[in-house]
Amino acid sequence: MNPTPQQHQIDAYLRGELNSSELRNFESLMEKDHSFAEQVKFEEKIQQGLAEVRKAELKARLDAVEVSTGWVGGLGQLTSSTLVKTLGGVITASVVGVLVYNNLDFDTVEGSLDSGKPVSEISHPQLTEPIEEIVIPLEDTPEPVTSLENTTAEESRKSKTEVVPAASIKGMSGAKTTKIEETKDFVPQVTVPTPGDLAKEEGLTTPDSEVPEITSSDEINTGEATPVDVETIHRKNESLKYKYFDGKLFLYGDFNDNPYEILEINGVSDRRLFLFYEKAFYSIQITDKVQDLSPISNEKLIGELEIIRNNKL
Amino acid sequence: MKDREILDRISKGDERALDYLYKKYYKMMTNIVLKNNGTEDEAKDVYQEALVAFWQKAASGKLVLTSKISTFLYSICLNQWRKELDRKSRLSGEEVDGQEFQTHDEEERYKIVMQCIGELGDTCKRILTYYYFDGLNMTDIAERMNFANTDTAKTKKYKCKKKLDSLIKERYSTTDFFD
Repeated sequence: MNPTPQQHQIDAYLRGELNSSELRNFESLMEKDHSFAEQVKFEEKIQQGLAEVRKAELKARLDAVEVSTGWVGGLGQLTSSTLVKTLGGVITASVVGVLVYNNLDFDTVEGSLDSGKPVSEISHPQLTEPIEEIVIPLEDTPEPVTSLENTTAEESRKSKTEVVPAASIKGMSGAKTTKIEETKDFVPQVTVPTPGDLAKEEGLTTPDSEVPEITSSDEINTGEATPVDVETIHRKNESLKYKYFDGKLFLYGDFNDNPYEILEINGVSDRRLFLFYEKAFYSIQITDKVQDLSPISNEKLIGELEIIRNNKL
Repeated sequence: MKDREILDRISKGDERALDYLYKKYYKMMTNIVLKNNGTEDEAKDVYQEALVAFWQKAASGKLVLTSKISTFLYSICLNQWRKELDRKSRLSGEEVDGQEFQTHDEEERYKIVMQCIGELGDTCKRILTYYYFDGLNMTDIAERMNFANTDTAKTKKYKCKKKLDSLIKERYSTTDFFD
């Protein structure tokens, strides 16, 4: 039931986990045994394909992230730049300096400063009032210089005018309150598998299992169609575009004024999708790249789609 | 979000950290291409490719970052765009044919595997891509997929891979895969 040592070795080879001596042995075996070499190649191709699938999935996810390309969006990228840090530091130092200059009675505090105690810890009754005057503005100022740099940068990022679907990362562990606010504007779309999803194993059960039998399995799609998941990404003044990958349809454009309709035709082995929007039909193909939506010009097809649409209505 | 936190989230499989990085450095990275004779689409492709490569390394725990994430991404984007420009400049008639042949061949293989992976359920797809692309070990996969233990993950991975192999072999002889 478990992978053969040879299979395990191929996996380790393709994952680059063999040490130098194991690698030498493996490569010499490939040279001697042609069928083994072919098996390795076969595995390699499959793994490349799997990698492409995963890459496409991640890229499709990134495509759905709306990014600002204007100069305002660029501000967000300056959060760690030396310029912002320097400016933040200078501004803060100036503000603190002015406040101290205007409020502090140097003659009164002088004696305490000589004693080596921090100003905030002075307990002499005569000094209480002047010190309170100093401490209040300091508390309003965001801490030391390093923190001030971050605050300044974060505020500059908040000034962006991007329109991003509402999102929250409040559930993520270890994030401080201020950081949660900072990261609110990206889209949480991780589809974490639920235990219920994993409870279907019948298709893959083999009799020679050495581990406790799993009563459920990953099922093979046999044709029962699941509804298409549609997400619209609002983009004004742009031509209509789409992307349809892994059962999810992304529509880019201004769909706020008029509703769109999705026509789904499920055959025995395939599914065809059409979009109806503003009196025109558009064909949707599987693609992980954002494509322009071109209206269908085939009169016969339009006629048939019209019938389907009217029946649906 | 600090670099350390981003890496930590990626190692836990939190893809929202990827979204965050994408938005944060989009302009900076795409400018590398845009200011060097590239189009917006090419710039986006290069950046996405770089980010996915970064994800793969970071998710598998094989990444030892000695610089800031932005510096690392910048260098990947720069190298990729240099390669692309180099490839474009080297394209002659014969090389184009060779390239097209190879691309066509790769596309065929990609289609074969894509079709078969498409017939696997979501669980199998995730296990195999987590293992073969993200480079996760069985313990991590078990944790991420809420399996009872590592042995369960091993068994499922074995079954899924076996199923995928057989699906491919049912339709295509293995010789289709060899050059």
